[in-house]
Amino acid sequence: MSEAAHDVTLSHQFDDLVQQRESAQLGMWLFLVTEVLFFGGLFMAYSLYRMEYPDAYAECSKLMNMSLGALNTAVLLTSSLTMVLAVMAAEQGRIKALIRWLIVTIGFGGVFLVVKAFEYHHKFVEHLVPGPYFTHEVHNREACQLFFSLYFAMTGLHALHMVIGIGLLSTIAWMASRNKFTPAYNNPVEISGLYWHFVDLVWIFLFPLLYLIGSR
Amino acid sequence: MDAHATAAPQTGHDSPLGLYLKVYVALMVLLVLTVGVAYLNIGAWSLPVALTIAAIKAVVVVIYFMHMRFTGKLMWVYISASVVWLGMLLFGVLIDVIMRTR
Repeated sequence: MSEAAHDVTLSHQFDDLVQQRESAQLGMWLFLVTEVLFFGGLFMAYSLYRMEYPDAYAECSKLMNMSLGALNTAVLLTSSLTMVLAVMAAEQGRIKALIRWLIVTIGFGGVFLVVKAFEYHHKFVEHLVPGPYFTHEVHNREACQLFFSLYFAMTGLHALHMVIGIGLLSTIAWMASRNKFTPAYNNPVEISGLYWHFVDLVWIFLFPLLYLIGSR
Repeated sequence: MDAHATAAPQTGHDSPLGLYLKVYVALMVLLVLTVGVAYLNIGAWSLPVALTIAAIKAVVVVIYFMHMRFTGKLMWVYISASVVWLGMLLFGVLIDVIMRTR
């Protein structure tokens, strides 16, 4: 099967590889449009309650660990660089480099999730998880719980996307090791990259909204 | 931009490593900048400034890492639609809340 990769790359419903490639990209972008609105609902809720409780947001944002947030932003931006290098390797037919960059990207994704897990752990220890044991050392306890509910919902949904992305890139790396990709056909690599960059994009907005709005 | 001329699968994108590294450095500089601004205590301006920097980072990622400079007009329509729809959601709900409660 792998020797015949050239012959099986064009599905019969497409005229040529260009049309097939553009269809794959368009399909992924269409999915990402729905993802924008998926996360958009949470950004909407965030904006609504920030208008209602700007002081509580500013106070509770200060309880976030900005260093870890900034570290994770750097980790994700770096993973986007290694992802784009993986796509470049695929286009140039350098399969070993492709697999290597995919593994590096997966590694950065793992680092992000580990840092996130430590952050979540700290939130539990510091009584910043909404519920009956939420800290009393804030001015507006209810609004502060709202902020942390949004924090866990938004970063949790984002972390879920990271886990899915790691699964996706692992699959792509496995396909690459089976010689599924050539310079002429690497659509799965490219559109998985689009997904990975999108997850990075969501974090680019989550970081300032959750970590940076309080005065220091 | 003619999509068929630039997206030919045989040649792939003209993806110079140097450009990606420059884009990466620019993104990291913007990250340092946005963290630095957070320490300036500019009050009400902190959110608009932080969001502006985030928007610049997002546009850079979309254009260079997501290869938007190579894709055709139809893709631009899709991406614009997502921004327009998100804008409609935010605008519609927020204008309603502002008008009724303030």
